[in-house]
Amino acid sequence: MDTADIVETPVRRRCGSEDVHRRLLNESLNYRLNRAAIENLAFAFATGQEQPSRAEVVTVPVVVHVVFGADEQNVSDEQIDSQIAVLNEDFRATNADVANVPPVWQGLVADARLEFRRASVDPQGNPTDGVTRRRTDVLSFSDDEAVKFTARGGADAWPADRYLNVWVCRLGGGLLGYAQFPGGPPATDGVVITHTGFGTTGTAAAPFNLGRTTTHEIGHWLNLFHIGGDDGTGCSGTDFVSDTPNQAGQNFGTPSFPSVTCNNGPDGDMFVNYMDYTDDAAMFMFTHGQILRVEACLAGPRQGLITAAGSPPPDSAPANSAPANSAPANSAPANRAPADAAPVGGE
Amino acid sequence: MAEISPDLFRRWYRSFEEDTDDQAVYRPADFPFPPSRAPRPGFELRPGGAYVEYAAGPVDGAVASPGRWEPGEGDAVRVRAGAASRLLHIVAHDDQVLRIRR
Repeated sequence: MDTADIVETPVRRRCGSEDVHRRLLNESLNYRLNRAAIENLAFAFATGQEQPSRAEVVTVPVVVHVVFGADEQNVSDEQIDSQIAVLNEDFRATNADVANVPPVWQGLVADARLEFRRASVDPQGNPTDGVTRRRTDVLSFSDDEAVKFTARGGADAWPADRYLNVWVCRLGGGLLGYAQFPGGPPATDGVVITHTGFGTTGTAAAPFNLGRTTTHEIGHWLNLFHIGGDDGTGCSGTDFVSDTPNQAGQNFGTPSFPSVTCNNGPDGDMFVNYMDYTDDAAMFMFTHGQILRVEACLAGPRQGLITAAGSPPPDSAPANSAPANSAPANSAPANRAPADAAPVGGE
Repeated sequence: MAEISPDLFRRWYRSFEEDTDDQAVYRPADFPFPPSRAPRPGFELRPGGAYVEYAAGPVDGAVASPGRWEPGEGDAVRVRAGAASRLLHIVAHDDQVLRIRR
């Protein structure tokens, strides 16, 4: 849940504190209402009441906010691009290791038809390389959202309806990354990744050096839950996806197939799914049911990204105009002209 | 414990790997924990009596439950978050480690 849910009861009335209290309560209420609407739409897609209507691959403009307290945390452009390359495989199911999906689940492997590219136009309409860099005095950040605010030692978000915000920093407590579900406050919308779990080169360190932390967190950002159901190790939790097996908790490391829990034999837990907790080298797939939730997310709370990505680039490269299923992944040249964020006048 | 040390006013993360049969071990954020997709549970004591308990959340950050702490008897601190109340028996601490009786 977001920090808007954290409401500390004021111990005594102070100037301003009532206002803060009311604001947090209101934000929390808004969040709950947003989440209900988002889940209702996901349910409509899951049950066939609504059908995905998106014809084309959507390219998501990405801004990477590098917030570094030491030079080594100032990840290189190469490390950033190595991460984006991973996303462009994982969200098109063109990752080489998809071949390692056990045969029983090969038919469930889904292409999310999402691609990612560093933004080339900033919120003011100026050219950008899609990366902001800021030195900070903060030794390590936590999941308290400070990295998302310039005033707290981090970097302010770009408008969340047009960009995927990715913060790269040093996270404390051993945390690899965290995300925010759609429907939360725009100022904190996006994903946060510790620099040693980001990309495939530079400071990325095994066993989290294949870029899958970012794939996992973007899964949350697109409204996917953990396939273990977020009920600890119980069997009654759900990820609201029909084609992922019911499983107990999350898996870790590199399990061997099959790993049976919750009477889900003979095939067992789908620990090869990006929304499990296995090592980078052990997760390779989203399912069709998960991508239905992503479609609902793109039709609902994140539809602004389709608009942002949909304005034709000046040189009208045809890569996105072919039918989705015939367009080869990553076919666009790296220097293709921008199709992303149109100028906006600020939030 | 009539007063608690300022060393304790921080967020403590559970360091399971260092637990013993009779002690739960906690470390501050900058301890070199092995990286994990799952957030480590923990808690935070703040000056003035505010307390926050952290548990694993659905988007990999911790879910925070606000509460209150107050001094208990001897080495104990009573903490409350939501409907739960428990006594933390602090065996040892400095600014790098906190050991609580299990």
